Amino acid sequence: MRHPTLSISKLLLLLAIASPAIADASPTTAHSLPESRPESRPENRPEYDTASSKTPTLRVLSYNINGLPEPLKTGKMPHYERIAEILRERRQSGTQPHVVLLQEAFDKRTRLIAETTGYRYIFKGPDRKARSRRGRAHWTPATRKGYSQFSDPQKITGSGLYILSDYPLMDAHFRAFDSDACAGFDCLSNKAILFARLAMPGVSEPIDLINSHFNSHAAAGTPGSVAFVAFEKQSSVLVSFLERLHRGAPIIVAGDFNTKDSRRYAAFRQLVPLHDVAETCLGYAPDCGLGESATKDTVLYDTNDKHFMRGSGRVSLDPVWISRNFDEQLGDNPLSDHLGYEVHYRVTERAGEQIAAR
Amino acid sequence: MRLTSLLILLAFHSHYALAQNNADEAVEPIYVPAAELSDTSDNEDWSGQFGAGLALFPQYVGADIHDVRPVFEFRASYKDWLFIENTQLSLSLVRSRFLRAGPSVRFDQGRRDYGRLSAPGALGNVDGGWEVGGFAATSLYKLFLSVEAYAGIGGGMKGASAEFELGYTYVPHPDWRITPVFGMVWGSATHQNQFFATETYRPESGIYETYAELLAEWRLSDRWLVKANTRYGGIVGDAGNSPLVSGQVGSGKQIRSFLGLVWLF
Repeated sequence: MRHPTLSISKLLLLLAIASPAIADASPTTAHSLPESRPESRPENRPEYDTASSKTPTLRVLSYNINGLPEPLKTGKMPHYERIAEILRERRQSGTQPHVVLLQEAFDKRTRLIAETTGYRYIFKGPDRKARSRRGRAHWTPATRKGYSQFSDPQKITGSGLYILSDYPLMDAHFRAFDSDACAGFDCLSNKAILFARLAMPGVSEPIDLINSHFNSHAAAGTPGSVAFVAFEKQSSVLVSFLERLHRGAPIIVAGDFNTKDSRRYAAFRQLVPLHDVAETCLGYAPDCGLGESATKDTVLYDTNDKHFMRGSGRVSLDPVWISRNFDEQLGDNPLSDHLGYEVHYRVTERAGEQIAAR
Repeated sequence: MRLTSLLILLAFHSHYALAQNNADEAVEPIYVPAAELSDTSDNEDWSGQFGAGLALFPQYVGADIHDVRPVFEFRASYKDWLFIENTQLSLSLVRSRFLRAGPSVRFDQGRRDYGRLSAPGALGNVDGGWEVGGFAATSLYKLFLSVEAYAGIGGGMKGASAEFELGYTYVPHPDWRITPVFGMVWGSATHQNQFFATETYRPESGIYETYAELLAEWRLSDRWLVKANTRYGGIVGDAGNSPLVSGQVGSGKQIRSFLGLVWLF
């Protein structure tokens, strides 16, 4: 999907039709909805679409850009440039995601996506040196010569994580996974969890954001049972991370959690007390729609990219749109081996007494 | 509102909007400072292990008889800087991402004559003694490679020797690690003469042993594991041609095995 650059005339036409609330306009393409849902729900869409809506909407994109460094991946620069171009085009049309969570931005050249797309606030995850000092590097035999065990893990790349935001990011923290909380090739990157509080205009409390990339499954080049143990450890780290930093504010946790495997997904859900945004959208949110390459499967369980969330007593988060975007080809290749996973959240101040967080 | 007024208004509005967007693109991004959220404690300064089990090994280097005895193993390290391994102590003075190196000292127990070395021309006991040298080790992912070199400084140990080792660890299951290791040992003429010379035979310097080893660890818990390893070595070169090895009381085939329980701390 290409986003052509807007000319003045097109912008004039657009403004004549929509503005001034163009910043919260939804994507214009509606794709098929789950079987249990009506194909289109015009009675619901306008609340989100209309320019007169006063309810703030937060657009959050999670995107694994497959930015492996050379020589592991070559010829990726045009892909990074195109991803950045798409984000710039969307900014020009006023539909840019307010927050972008990137994974696998290992290649230093991916920096251009962060720095040339108009995002004022950039939270870059730990590089390869900012690794955890805990854990015993998992791949060394414990009983061999001590000096050959290299308990200080050898990270080849950094975390590959970014949070880009139009709104201020506060209280930023990160936690690199311990050296034994990984399996296979994933251990060569300094995978981590990023946390920040987002000060969204018009919302009375900050929204907690988390971006992470969990241990891969088959791609790790290690038996599934070994990778699963690492996944469980990382999930536990996320839980402890939440316990220490999350103080009841609304929260969005998104990233590449590698939960396509049903056993992993079940373990994650059991450990992490958050709602699956796709489940909420398809099951409980009457005015939530799917767009751009999004189907019930690709937003629910047939994906490693996920959004999880929970509202607070004062602010509710309601998904109103989910899309799997960045699906265009560059030559014969996709932009990444993942699609973007973008969710538009309606952020509503709750009236009256505090009610249970949704 | 007249059409021209509307167009002017829209043109102004669009110009303003474009200017805002361009300004957004041109804005210098702010890299948000972040703090690390680490657990309250780092790894312990000291780590190590005690092991106890049964070992099978040749009575002496080149012997054709192997004994089974209870043995104890001890390893400890302090901040990845000091390494103690039974009778060996090493200091890692070079500690980069891919290299560790430093001086090392060890006590070699020499060779004990169990009577079989009273064979014609054999030189009997070799007293134990101290050796000093150094080590260098590198590791990449599950591959590790190390070399140690020593020279005798007292007691019965004379000459120089070096050991080269290459290994790769497989993790087939969360509780299992399987590590094949390949290695070789080089000895100076003086060193080899201690163990392989007779009154009429003097080996020259060279590689005198090559070996393949399989190490398995079965993790019982965070602190406990079962260790099993078997090393099959061959005495080669001049040493292999020594009457002490190729004669009736010797063998070029050397097996060393261990099976035991290890407690990690």
